[in-house]
Amino acid sequence: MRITKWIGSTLFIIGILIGGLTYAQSPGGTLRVAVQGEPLGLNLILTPSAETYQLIMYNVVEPLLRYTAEGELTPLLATSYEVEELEGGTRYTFYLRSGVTFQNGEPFTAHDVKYTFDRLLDPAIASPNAAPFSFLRGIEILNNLIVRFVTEGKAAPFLGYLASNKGAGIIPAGSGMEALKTHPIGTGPFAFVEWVPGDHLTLMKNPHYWKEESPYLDEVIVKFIPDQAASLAALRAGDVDMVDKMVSENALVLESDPRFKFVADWMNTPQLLAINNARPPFDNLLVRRALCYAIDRDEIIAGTVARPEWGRPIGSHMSPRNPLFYVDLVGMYPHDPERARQLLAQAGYPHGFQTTIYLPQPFEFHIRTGEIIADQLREVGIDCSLQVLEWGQWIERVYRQWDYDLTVIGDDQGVEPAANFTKPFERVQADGSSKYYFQYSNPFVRELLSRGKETFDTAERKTIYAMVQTIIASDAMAVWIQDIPHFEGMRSEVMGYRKLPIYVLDLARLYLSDG
Amino acid sequence: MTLTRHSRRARSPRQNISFIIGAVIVGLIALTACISLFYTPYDSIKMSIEDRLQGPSTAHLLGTDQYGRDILSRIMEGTQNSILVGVVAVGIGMSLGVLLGLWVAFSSGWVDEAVMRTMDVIYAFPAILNAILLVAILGPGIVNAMIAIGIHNVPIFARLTRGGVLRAREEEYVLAAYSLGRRRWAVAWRHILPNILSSLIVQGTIQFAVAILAEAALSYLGLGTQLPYPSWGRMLREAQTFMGLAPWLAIFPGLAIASFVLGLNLLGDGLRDLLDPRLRGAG
Repeated sequence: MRITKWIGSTLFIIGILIGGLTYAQSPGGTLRVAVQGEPLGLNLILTPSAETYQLIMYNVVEPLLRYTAEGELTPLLATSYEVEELEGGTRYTFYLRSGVTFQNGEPFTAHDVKYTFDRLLDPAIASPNAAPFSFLRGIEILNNLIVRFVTEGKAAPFLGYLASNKGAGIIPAGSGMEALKTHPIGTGPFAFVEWVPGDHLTLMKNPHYWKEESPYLDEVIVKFIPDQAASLAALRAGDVDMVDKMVSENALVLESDPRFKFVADWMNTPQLLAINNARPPFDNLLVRRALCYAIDRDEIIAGTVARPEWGRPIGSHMSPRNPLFYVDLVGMYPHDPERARQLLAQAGYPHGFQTTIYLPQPFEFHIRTGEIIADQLREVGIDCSLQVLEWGQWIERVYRQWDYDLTVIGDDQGVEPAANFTKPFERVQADGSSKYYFQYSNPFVRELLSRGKETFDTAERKTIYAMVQTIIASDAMAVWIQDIPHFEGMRSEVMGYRKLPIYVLDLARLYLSDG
Repeated sequence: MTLTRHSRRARSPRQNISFIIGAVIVGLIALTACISLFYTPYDSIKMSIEDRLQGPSTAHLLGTDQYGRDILSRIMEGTQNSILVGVVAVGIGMSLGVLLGLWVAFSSGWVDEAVMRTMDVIYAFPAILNAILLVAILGPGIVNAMIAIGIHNVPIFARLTRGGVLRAREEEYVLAAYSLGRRRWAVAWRHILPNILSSLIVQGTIQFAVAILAEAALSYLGLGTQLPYPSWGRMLREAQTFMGLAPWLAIFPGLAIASFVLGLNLLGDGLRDLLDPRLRGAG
């Protein structure tokens, strides 16, 4: 009897252990991810490229704070911080995590933080990511694990910048900027192994990573496959395990195949028909409002997204994917072609007019949207010719020279409004006219936005950004269409994927189940 | 006009069939183009999103595309595009090429060398690459596409003409015309040109097919016909995203291009055999 009991309890314990193991994340394995855009350089201080950002941020380099999938700020390299208001400024003191080493074995200290920001703000380096930090007055090292930033004014967006600005990932003190372009080094869960341009980039698990049992994967191979048909074929053939940012049509194809699955989300990137507010006839509010009434968002979504329920219409310059600050203004301009014609007649264009819509190559999503918009505008008498511009041309003609009537584009937002949302409204010339390609200038909005940077009160910030969204929608600054849908396709065994509200591919959470 | 007569040799049925099939295909396409000027089953530009991505049916014989537009109507209108590009591109190439070839063949050595080497440089690039290069300079659009493809054709016709002239110059009837005191250009126009006409026509059909392919390639790359007008090449490009969902978006424009090119090549083959100067009797 005693032996039976002993065997029984042993088996029982073994059974529980096995059960426990199959539910736990099984570590190990290699993940091959197909990505559309290839980085031009891997040093985030030197490049504004979203392609670099999505692979290197949070994976290879880490900032002091980070965003969760819900858009909340949590500690990363800084375990806690204090905010003290001074005379005309604010002091942020960060207590850094101890026992952290870089992937090259060097210990992480406050000196590395100071070095990173000194390089980011160095005028000789002229980083494209430095501008938001213009309110930084100084960085002080108190000891190896305490660093202090002093800002001018309250700098309320500062913490959000620290978690999401492209240049905020901490690099080892003394690193050369050129070397980091091809071999980035940070404290993150994945160490850089190699980059074969035009083909792939390899990351491997950082064995010295400070977080226990993280990451799960041993290796990640990022393959550059710009063509969506090719990446779908690669997934189905077993050449890759995951496809980043699939088009909705390919997600639909995966739906019926039990070997695969996809995660549907939104990119937190408002797509809009941007209007050159300074160019007639679009300097007339009635004409801009007519455009808003002429556009049928639901029809655009039906024509660009494989399933209408995967689309998300928006009414202003933020997306519902921004959990803190978004307000729903979709109802402000319902689809009403008759109203649009009336407004045009009132504005002095009873027979409509001719215009050109510039569409950016290679963004097929925007090109298709532009085609549908042209069809809708034709109904109200606005005759649009469509011109596709190469990306470089688009940047030069539309973004830099403001030489356009209308264009369709997406504007990547983050969580912190001051990071991206406020940009179009704040850049002004000496005479108050706008320095941004929307060419929209509203002093009251600017006033509100600078107040938004100067208060820590979340409720007050929410109100301010709600007012700004409402004002620009009422002014019909642009016609906002939808938040761009985001589909991550993968084999059914790939687990743990969650879309962050910023343009970063979070690799540490991923693991392969034993199926 | 003095044309040397030629006796028809008996043709084997196989050679005639090329010509017949080619002519039928090209004829059908030309007919479709004419019809589409006045009638297509649906408006080829008007969108109808709720009808998108339908397969072939009685309402839409070739199905609908991603915006609900009728594919048959778009293919019909696409024939206008293709024929226009072919005609203009070959027209430019032939007229400029023949004039250049004639001028060069009657000119002194260094002019001949200089021009023909330039022609060689243009000719060295594949047709589509040439077209892309020129469109990159001139800008996208169907007019520039036609000019670009036309320019690529110039060396081909120039060489053909020059070769034909140099050969014909040695013929007895030409020497006879000179001895009668006719001027060079008159000789060229009245005696030589008609004799190389047949090879020009054959080459013309081949270059027409090349022009179709080049325009399709340019439109595929977004450099040719602009939105929203139908072009088979652009239709192929747009169909790529939907290959998994709706393959007919790619199949029908692809078939259209393939059939037209096949028809032109068969026509060219057939014409070459019918008009083969080696088979002519002596003048």
